[in-house]
Amino acid sequence: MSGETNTTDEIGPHRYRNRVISFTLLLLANRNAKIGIGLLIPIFTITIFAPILATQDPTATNYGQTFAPPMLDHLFGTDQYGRDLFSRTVYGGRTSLFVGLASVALAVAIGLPVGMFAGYYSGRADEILMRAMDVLMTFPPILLALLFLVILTPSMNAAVLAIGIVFSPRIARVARASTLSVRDEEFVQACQQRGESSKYIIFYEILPNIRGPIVIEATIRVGYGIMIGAALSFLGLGVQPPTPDWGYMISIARNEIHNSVWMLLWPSIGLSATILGFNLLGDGLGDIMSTEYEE
Amino acid sequence: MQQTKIKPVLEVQNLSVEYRTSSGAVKALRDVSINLKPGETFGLAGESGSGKSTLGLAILNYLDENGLITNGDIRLHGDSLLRLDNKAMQLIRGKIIAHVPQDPKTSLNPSITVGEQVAEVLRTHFDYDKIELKRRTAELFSKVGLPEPEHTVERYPHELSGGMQQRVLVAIALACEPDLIIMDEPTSGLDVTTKAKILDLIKKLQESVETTILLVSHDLGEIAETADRVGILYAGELMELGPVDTIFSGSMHPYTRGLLKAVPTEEANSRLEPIQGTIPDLVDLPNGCIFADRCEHADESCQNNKIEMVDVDSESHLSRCKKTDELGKFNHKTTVASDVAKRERTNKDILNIYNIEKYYQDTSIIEQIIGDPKPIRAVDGIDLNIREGETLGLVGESGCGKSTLARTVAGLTDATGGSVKYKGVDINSWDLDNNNRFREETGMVFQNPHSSLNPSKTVYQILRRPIENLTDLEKTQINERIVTLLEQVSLTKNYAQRHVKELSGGEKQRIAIARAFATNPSFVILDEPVSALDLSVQASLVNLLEDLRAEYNCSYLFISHDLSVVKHLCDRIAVMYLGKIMEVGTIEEIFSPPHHPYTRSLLSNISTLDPGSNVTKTYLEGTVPSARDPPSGCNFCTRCPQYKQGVCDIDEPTLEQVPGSGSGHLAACKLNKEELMDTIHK
Repeated sequence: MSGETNTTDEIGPHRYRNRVISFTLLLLANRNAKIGIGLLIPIFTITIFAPILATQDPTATNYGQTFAPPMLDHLFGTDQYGRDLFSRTVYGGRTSLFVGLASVALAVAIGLPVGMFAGYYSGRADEILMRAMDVLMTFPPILLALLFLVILTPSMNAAVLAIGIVFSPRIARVARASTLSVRDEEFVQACQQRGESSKYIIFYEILPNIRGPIVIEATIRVGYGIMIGAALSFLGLGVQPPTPDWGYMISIARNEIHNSVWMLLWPSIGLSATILGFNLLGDGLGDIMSTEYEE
Repeated sequence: MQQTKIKPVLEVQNLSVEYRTSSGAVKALRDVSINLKPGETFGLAGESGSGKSTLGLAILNYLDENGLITNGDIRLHGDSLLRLDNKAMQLIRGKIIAHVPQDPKTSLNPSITVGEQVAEVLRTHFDYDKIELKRRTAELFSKVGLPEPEHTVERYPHELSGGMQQRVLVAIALACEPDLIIMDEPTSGLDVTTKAKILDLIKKLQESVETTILLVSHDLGEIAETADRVGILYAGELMELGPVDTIFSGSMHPYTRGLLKAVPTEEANSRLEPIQGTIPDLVDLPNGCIFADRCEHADESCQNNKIEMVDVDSESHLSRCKKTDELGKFNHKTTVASDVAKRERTNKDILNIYNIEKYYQDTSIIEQIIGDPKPIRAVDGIDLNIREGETLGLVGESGCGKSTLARTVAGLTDATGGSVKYKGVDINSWDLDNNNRFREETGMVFQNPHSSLNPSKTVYQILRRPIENLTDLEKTQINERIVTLLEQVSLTKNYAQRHVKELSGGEKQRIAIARAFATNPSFVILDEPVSALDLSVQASLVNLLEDLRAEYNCSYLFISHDLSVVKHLCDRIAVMYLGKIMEVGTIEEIFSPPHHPYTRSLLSNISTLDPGSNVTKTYLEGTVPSARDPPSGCNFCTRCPQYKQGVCDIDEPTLEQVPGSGSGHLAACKLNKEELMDTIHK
């Protein structure tokens, strides 16, 4: 034993890189995930680099040139105030993606602990927490979001808050169901036997084993989040003008459809591609993670 | 035309099966040939991964989509089954070849009555009218020994016990009077007493119906008891083939010998001899003998060219070994027991259990309103003590409360009554410091190796956490400790970096044991630690547990349903039934009369490796009563073969010293000494 003390350091954990690489390879081998990633990477690149890509200020008006079709100066054409549609579409993706990602992040932040605690403790705690979540679930998401926005003043952050809360029961349900299936595993009993705290068991022992379903659910929810965000903006309750947003742009374009098709076309393409991308990625992740679990 | 020999029912000729997977072709079966004669029972024995289930499925032409027969032929009454299309095969399945699947719980449709599930098969293959169908179903039910056939046909699977469900499956298989029944592990997952009854049913069927049975099993005792001939399968190749008596009393192949040596024998205090190494990778096969790298007799010549089956002394006994001529015949009964070091034992108690109770009450609001107000009495007033350095075996059938008792002692659930004292102090009265000391000084090993380690962690993380939490060791000391632990469970330190997924079942259980010993415990609870493992792995783990006990000088509470393992490892035994202790005493006291009637029936149902043995078996009638509503008087009185009306059902027997036995030998029974000594009864 004594001669080996120096070599004991090499037994520590440093095998994560391999798993990340192999997971990425698996992801790229899946058709759904591949298409999803193929759609999302350009969308993310465009929105991140919006300030560089945008040819003009997205809020600058030009009444001399309204409802213009695509041309050299305005690649996608202009809207009813003569604003550059290309710049607005590129910037509009930022708000849409932000609403989708931030609301889901909030939903996970609320739903994950609630669902895991409910699943782990079961009994009375479970019933109280999940019945509260069920009440939230009975409202149609858009209606509940509207209710929140009536109380709060309409703004992008309010929309994120509303969507996040509306989505949290769905995340909670997935988290609870997954926790229930892991909770009675013997490794959890082994932790209880040696006196680990519930917090440790929930977040360090159970969570790593249920992240698959959570990631899948969250990914698919991002698409829906963007959709509800767009719907709220469409109703004038989400992102406020003149900030460009795909949903708001579609809502305005609808009234002007006899003047210009382009106004409706670009944000619609962006919105559908993003939602489709997130849904396909979610499906692909689901395929991979379910097979990975079976191994 | 040659007509000298009896035509076999089924011939499997040089069969090879491959599974196409992403990591290459898994060669699950290679060059397997067996002939099944009419009316015989052929036992196919093998550990997991040996391909025994694949063979059964191949015969039914029911392999998974990626399974492919690459060579050989399967002939039924001389006609090849491989040339038949799906439709023709469907007529054969069920009618000429029937299959009894492994797990009765998942093999029966829960929403259809069991009678209808038998009738279904009859309707597919025959043109019976309603009355005839009903009559035939009831007839089949009485044939497989199901009580009150007319009523049982109306019941749903969940209303029947596991043993009865298994009987229904046998009835389905018998429905069309097939020429061949394939039984895939018909008793795994059943309790000892139920298992004995199913084996008895198989034996009765052998006498009453002219059916050939292919019995696929990992349990050598089961095969010794029921089969006429046996084939030993290892890693997809048939190793040895011959009549049961010949194989069990004079096996030729080193693998067969290894298996027989790994079975815990009646002989206590002898060391088991596990087979070293692991099953080879079936994608990339070694040259020559498949068993060579684990074989003690192997030399270079074994690994050079293909090994063929050779006759041992007659055509009926074949062995796939080059050294058949050099090796003498081996009889497992003559192995010399090597001595195991005597351990120090004191009379000081390490753990005292006083009248402990664990009742489960329905918790949810709705259940409290409409549910049963009676609690489930999982553990119902148990007194036990475990001495320092002692191993106490806790045996009993599933559902008797032995795991609940272990969980209560380990502090995983709170007892609803009674107390547990560790080294004289009540564990519930402890403050945090003392509680941590109790956690540090106790360890626990669970039953299922695949669920007892967190699949998202590495071995290092798993072993590090308890040491870090419960001891004061520094970081470098922790790493040293982990290396020591891995060495103690016979694994190299490279294992520290492995992921749980990369470990085999046996390796996982070794890590689980290492985790239990991580904090240097003086008391370890072992909840069926070896019952989910293959025979050869089981033997090495039993040895490991013996070594660790000597090394740490600790006490074990060893829970098991396998009496032969318990006898091998334990000093004292407590027999549990329906939440109560029936009998407690030393190994010698328990295994020889006077017996509690329940202990006696358990003992008589231990399967032996002796094909000819004619031990009178005591079968228990009926099923275990509900723990919500235990019978009045003695808990065992509803099934006791020596039940005395007016005595046993009036008041409850207490644990009392068995007359004429040692002072520590207690039994809860109203019978007198002569009756307890009685070995023959109705």
